[in-house]
Amino acid sequence: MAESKVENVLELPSLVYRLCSKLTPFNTDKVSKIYSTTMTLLSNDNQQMNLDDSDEFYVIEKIKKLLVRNMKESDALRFEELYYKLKRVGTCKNPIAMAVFLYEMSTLNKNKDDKLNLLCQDIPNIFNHGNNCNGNGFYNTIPGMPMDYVNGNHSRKHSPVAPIPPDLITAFDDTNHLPGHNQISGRGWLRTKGNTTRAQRPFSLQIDDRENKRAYSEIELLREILFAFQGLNGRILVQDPANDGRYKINSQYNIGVCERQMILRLTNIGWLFNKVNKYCEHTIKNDTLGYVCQSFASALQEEVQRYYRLITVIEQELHSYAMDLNAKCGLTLLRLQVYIYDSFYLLKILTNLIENCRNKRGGALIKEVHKYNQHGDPNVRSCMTRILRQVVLPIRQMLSQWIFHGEIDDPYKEFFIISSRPAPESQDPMWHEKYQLNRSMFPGFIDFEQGKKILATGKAVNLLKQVFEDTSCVAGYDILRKTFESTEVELLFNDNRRNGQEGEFQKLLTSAYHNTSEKALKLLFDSYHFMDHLKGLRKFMLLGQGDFIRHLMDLLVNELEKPAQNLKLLNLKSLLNSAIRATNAQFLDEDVTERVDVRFSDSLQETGWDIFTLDYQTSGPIKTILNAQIMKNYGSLFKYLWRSKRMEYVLVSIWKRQIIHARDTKIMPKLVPVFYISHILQAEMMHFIQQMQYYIEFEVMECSWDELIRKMESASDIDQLIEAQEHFLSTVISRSMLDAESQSLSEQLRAIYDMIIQFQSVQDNLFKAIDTELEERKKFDAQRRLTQENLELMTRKEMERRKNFDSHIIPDFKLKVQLLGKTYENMVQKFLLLLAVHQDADLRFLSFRLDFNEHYAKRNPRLETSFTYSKHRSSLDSSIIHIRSV
Amino acid sequence: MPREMITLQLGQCGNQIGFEFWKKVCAEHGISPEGVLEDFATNEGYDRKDVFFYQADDNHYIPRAVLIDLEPRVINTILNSPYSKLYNQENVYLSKDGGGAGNNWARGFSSGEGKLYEDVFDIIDREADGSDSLEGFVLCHSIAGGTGSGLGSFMLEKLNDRFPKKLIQTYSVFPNQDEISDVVVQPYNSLLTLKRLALNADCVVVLDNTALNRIAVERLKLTNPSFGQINSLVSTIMSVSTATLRYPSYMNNDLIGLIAPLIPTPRLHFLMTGYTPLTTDQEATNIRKTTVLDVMRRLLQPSNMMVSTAMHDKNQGHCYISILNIIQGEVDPTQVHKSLQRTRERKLAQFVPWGPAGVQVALSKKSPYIQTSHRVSGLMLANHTSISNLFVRTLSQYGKLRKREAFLDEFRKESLFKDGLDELDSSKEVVQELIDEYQAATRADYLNWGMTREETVSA
Repeated sequence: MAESKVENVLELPSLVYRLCSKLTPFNTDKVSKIYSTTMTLLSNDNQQMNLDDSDEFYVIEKIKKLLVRNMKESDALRFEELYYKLKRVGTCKNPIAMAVFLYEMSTLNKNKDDKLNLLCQDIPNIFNHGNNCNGNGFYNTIPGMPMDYVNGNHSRKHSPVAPIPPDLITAFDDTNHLPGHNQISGRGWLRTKGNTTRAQRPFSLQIDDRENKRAYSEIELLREILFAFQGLNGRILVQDPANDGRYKINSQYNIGVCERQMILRLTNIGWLFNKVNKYCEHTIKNDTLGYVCQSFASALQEEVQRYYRLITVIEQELHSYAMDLNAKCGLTLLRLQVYIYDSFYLLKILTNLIENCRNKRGGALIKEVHKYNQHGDPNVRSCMTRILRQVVLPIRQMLSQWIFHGEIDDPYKEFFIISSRPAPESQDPMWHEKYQLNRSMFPGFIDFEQGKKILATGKAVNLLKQVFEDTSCVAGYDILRKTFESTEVELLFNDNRRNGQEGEFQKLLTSAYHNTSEKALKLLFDSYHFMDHLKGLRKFMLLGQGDFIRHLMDLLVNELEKPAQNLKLLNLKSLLNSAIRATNAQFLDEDVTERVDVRFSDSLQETGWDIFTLDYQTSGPIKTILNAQIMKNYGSLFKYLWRSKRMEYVLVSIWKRQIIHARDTKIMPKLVPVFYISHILQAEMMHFIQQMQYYIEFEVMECSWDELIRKMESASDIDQLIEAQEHFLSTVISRSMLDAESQSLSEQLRAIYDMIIQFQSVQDNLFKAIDTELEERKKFDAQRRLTQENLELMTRKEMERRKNFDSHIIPDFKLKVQLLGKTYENMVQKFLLLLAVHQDADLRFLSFRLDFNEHYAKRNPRLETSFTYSKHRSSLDSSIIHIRSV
Repeated sequence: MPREMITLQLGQCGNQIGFEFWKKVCAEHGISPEGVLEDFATNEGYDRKDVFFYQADDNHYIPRAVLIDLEPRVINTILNSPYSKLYNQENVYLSKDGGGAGNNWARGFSSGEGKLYEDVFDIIDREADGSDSLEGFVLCHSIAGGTGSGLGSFMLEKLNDRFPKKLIQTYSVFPNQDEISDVVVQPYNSLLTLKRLALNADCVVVLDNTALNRIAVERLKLTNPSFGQINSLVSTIMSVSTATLRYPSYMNNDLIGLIAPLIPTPRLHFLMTGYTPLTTDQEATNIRKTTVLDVMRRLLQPSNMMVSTAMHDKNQGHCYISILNIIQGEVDPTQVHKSLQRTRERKLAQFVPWGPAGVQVALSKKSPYIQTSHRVSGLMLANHTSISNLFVRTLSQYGKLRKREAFLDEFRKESLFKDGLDELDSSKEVVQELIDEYQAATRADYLNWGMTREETVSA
């Protein structure tokens, strides 16, 4: 055939037909079938047959091997000779294609009819080279290998897994990038499946004496690959440290290009395996990484064990193959690839996972693993479930410890609840600060809401334990614990709560939460009288017990006028106690009144007024809610309210003395003007203070308090109590102008209060001066009656003093009060202006209260416009609301 | 301690309204007519009984009250009532002769001198010593009769001397102008008492019989209102106006804190009252739904005021100096806010032009032992310049009488008028000054008016 010249293309079909009929022993029908197949093959576009040199060499070698195997060594040599001759002559455009064809035909020779049929159908596929080959050619003919997993792109699309590092993609996608070989080797594999005699193996002894390379047997090669699978170095296959420990083929061995590629591809498994193994070893050695990391490593090791088992099976097969030349089933590279495929894929996922988990610990690590648990591949999923089962064990232990014992045993900070203070035995646990959720450690299967519930549950148990030593007080809690501890670990993360129904774990959690919270709240409210303490706070820290506060002020007023350093805490405490005893505060629960205490704030201030503050001691479970921060806020509210109460007190006492001294005008009519101006200023200040007090008490305190009590009564766990407290305080503080936004207002208010104190001292001095003057006059009158001596001089002196008093001292005071009044009015107007432009509507309304009859507005055009503006704006606001409600 | 108040009941009227007041207060505190705490009154710490009561050694509650009269009729009625054991018998002072003051101010005034003064002030001193921090005195009397006005005036002066630093508040009943009084010297009595109320009292709550009767007839539909019915109105006013002292809360826990903001200058201390909703016993079943808004609105209506002055006569330009609304019941603070806003926007209340003024609101607790048909009720204590119309009326009636020199003989018999009728003239002067000051307070230059008053005072 090689000798004959094909001159005309037209002659080809007949030649082919002849060839077909010659080569096959079938009748014409079958021959023509074969002919047509052959023609299709031949007439296929050559470009698709773009086999390169290495392929050519590979095919020729295969044919030669085939001949050698059939004891036709000389034919083999001859074939090679002839082939290259043909190629040289150039008459045949595509000799290699011809060679492939012939090779295929020769194998056909020995097949049965059905095989031929199979082939006939498969032929188009065989030559279906190129980029689109990967999808339909080789792979889908392999049973049990789903397409999706072959094509990395597909699987990635379906899985939520984080992006895979590029080098792994390459490792993974190697199969796809190999041009052409798959088809051919695939065919080979296919065939060996059908025809299992050893002689038909595509790989056989490789002897190449010519290049002085070291020889190896197929068995040896396979063994080497198995070594590589286990991450070991062999003679032929060694790790290349320069290439991230991937395997390379010892250059001393001459391995066919085709096999080389395949071998390298297979050895990638070893490379991945090493990565996993290295991580495990590293982690297990490093015990500072925490329990979760340790269990992760051990779970990975179990996976490694499974892998080892597979390797062992393969090894056995190899062994039996090596022992018995006639063994029915042998190993080939392809077969290895199939065997190992699943593990290969899994290892890739695992290395991926390890990459993602690197530097992660505890809950964060679980979260990563949990992500993979939603993988689409059932194999991967079941593997991840296996791992998860192990990984969550430490967290589950902690969870159980927390939910059922209210303790945290978490030396490596892996749990999603952290205790920030290292004194769990301390009598006064400051819950709010002590236990907190740590968002970064949330395992994927617990969401934030659940986390809050879990936190609340543990806290409640913690509280219960402090009181009852154990949780037996919660009915059925032990049973619940046993249920929890005996349930499948998987329930933790495979809880089916997406269907709207609560899963087993969720149910458990909910009932634990409810049981404990209910009990803890009951305990707080019933045994610890939490509401009483709350009322105590209202009565003492927020000045709600008015008669007590007034009496306390009565008792303290002289003390607090003293310089701060002269005050004695003990003194004030005893006054506090007598104030409690003398007023309705005495009827409050002793547990409440005993907690009221006096404290000095440590500011460097002048008088006792500046440093005095009441304090409400919280302890035990109560302190868990009324924690330090909350109490600090109550403290600052007390100072604020106390100050405004003091102003009221000061003004009332000025009023009283004015009333008493008003009778002096009968004796000293010149006092009338200064008295009037003082009365009016006093009334002006009084009006301000009264309205401020009303605003604070009813519009701020009362409203917020109602809301607080409602929230307290409907709270379902302790954290909600704390939240309600915080909300209440922040509302009151901002409405009281104590927050940062109202700083200018509170400064202005402070200045106004200072004016009141100044007014008080002016009035004090005035009254003192009057009293002295009256005393002098009385003395004079008495003396005049007693003695007639020096009467003239005495009278002159007396008259001089009186005149001086009338025309100097009194006008002086008048001027002082006038000046004070002017400054005061300016300050109030500034305060009103600030209020009018404040963001908070409630505060804006305070300004209308303080200037109800528009006294200030009429005297200050700026204020008038700002009032109308704010009025306009508020009416605008209400119209907007109206529109919305429509 | 509790800033105790000692109540002095003078004359028939004073003892009658005092009696009604104690009845009411006892009921509110759950104290039986015998002074024993009722079994249901377990709400310890909710109220303060010790402002008006003290406890005897056997834990009985005893009112801090002194009952004084020159004739025995009313006091005997009290002592024969179920409440007889309530009072400390030692605190009852009845004039030995029992002849009364004969509706003569002068006789009432002069009967105080000598033995009565000593006896009564023994009682008062003992009461004052028995209290830890006496806030002041409450005087119940009428200004028209003899004992309440005359002896009352005497007591006011003496109390001022003996307790210069204690507050004196009075509940003063002004005579009914609509009916012809059988007391012909009523204008003299009223004028002379008004002088003491102006000079010696710190706060006068005016109870105008004219208005009370009108309210009883017009609002309560009583054709012929009895003393009892009128007095129950009075006792309501008295009990509500002291509610914030008896039920402690954040604000207004003492009398001085309550009245100081109402009284800007010492003379302008005559307060009028208004109350809503007004009901009688028969009407109690007819429950109306009241809200804070209703109450606050109605309190500003003149028809609810218990003083018969032309408050809203625009020509006179009268205005509020101050207002305190004591609201009791189920109160939503936001509603208070709303109603204040409405009051301001619609200018429902005219205020003085010389200083900041507004409606103060005190939200007070109320007795848990008394069921009321109304969810919310309110008392207004107002300082309104139109109160001066009452004084103008008194002054003009006095003028008519004085012109004729009528009925002066009885006065001349008493020591104070032996040497002449100067006292009447000076009283007239004081009352006229008071009227002038109220008039001045309606104007923006009130401060200047006050500052230039030294000439008139010295004159």
